Amino acid sequence: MMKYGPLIFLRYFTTACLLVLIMMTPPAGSQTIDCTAGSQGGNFQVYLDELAFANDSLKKDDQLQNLMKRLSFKLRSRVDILKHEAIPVPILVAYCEGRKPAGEGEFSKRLVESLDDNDVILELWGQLDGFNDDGSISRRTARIYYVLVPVLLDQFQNPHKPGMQLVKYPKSTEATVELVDLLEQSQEMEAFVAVGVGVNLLRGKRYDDAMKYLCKAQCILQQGGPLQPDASRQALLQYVALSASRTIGQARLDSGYQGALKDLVDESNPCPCERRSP
Amino acid sequence: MNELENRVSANEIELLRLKVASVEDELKNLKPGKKLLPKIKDIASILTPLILAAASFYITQSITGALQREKLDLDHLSAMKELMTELASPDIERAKAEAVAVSLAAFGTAAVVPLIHELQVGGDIRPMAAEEGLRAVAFRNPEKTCSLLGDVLQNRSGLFSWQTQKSAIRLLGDIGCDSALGGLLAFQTRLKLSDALENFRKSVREVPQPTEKNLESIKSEVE
Repeated sequence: MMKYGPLIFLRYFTTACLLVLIMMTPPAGSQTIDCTAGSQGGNFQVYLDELAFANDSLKKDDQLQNLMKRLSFKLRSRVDILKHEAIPVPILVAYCEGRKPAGEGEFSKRLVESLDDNDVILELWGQLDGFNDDGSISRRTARIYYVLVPVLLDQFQNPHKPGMQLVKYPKSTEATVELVDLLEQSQEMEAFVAVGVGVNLLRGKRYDDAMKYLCKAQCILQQGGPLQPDASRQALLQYVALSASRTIGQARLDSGYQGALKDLVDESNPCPCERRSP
Repeated sequence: MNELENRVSANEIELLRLKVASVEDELKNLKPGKKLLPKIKDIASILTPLILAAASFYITQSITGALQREKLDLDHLSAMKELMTELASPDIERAKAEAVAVSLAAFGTAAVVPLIHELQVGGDIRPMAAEEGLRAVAFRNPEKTCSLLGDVLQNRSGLFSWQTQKSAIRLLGDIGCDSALGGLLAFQTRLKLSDALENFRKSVREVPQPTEKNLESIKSEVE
């Protein structure tokens, strides 16, 4: 009995120390928590995270607070529309309260794989930032990130990160309204969702449906929009075109598939997009 | 006098001779057991209580030890409960979840089952943290950890979700569980059959139902 006395003490002491250590852990800049509103798969999901301030001192700024409210409302509205669109694949939208990734680095390959396993096709998160000059905030910026989960997983090593799309608003306070209007005008969210759905359908060997969504995404991305394309956007466009070609290739090799992709598609232009009239 | 002395000496000599002859006779007739047995009995009468005392001491210590281990296990559970409650918090942040899971690993193999349970809860943060915890346990207790993870993989009663089995495969690889190789190969063979998806759906938890895409991801993990 005496033999176990010190052991018991040691165990309790160690546990107590661990608990104290954990409780004393300073809150990290990130708050990547589970999205409890999400499901464990079965339907395609879009995660809409909570917008965050880059640091606590910005919370007092009225203009940033106002921008946050407007952006949050606009993002919710746009994402809500996705639920009601007439598409054969139902999409669930999960409002992930309290989930605020600190940066792109939060999305490790393991996390992205986990999101993919839960059929999350897109995760949106954002940060509002500004320069604090003795209590006066200037150079306000807003960043909205679109994490295209299946693309990010497939192209994790790609330095241009086509799976991580960023809408950045660099302008000054007078034009704060513009970002919200930009989101209103752009169809990029639909394009990003279409990419996610298309890639997943390809993996599920639903070639016809996959082609439909990939072509939709390609056409929207090719049209461009009010937001300037960058290397990441170009890389995404290339990836979508490659996925469309891959869909045709796999369909033709699949002995179980007898659909239109076997021989009715022009391989050089698999996604003929209607041109916008000027 | 001399004659008397001589006669006495002769008598004494004769007496001695007779005594020696008698002793010689006795020695010839002596059987081994008859003389030693009393000595063994003496020894036994001393040793028996000593042996009995030692045996009862050993038994008492064993029982006491078992009771102490039982008490330690209960103490472990009580301490682990604190950490498990922390980990089960729905808004636990990623770094903290990993810290708690790794702390659970300090309790050794007792932590394996609760951590496997955390693989099942869904989401991304807690299962990822549970994987870290299981890796930490395996560092000190690889055999037991490998054995239990192998059981997860072999289960076909629908107790575990497909994501949990995928995590088990990943962990078996990360830990280097050679003992699970046979089970992994058998699992891989099942996945290559023509009706693999249908059979796989029957062997895992009903919700979420695995899709073709999920099956492909599991195959990649096994490979």
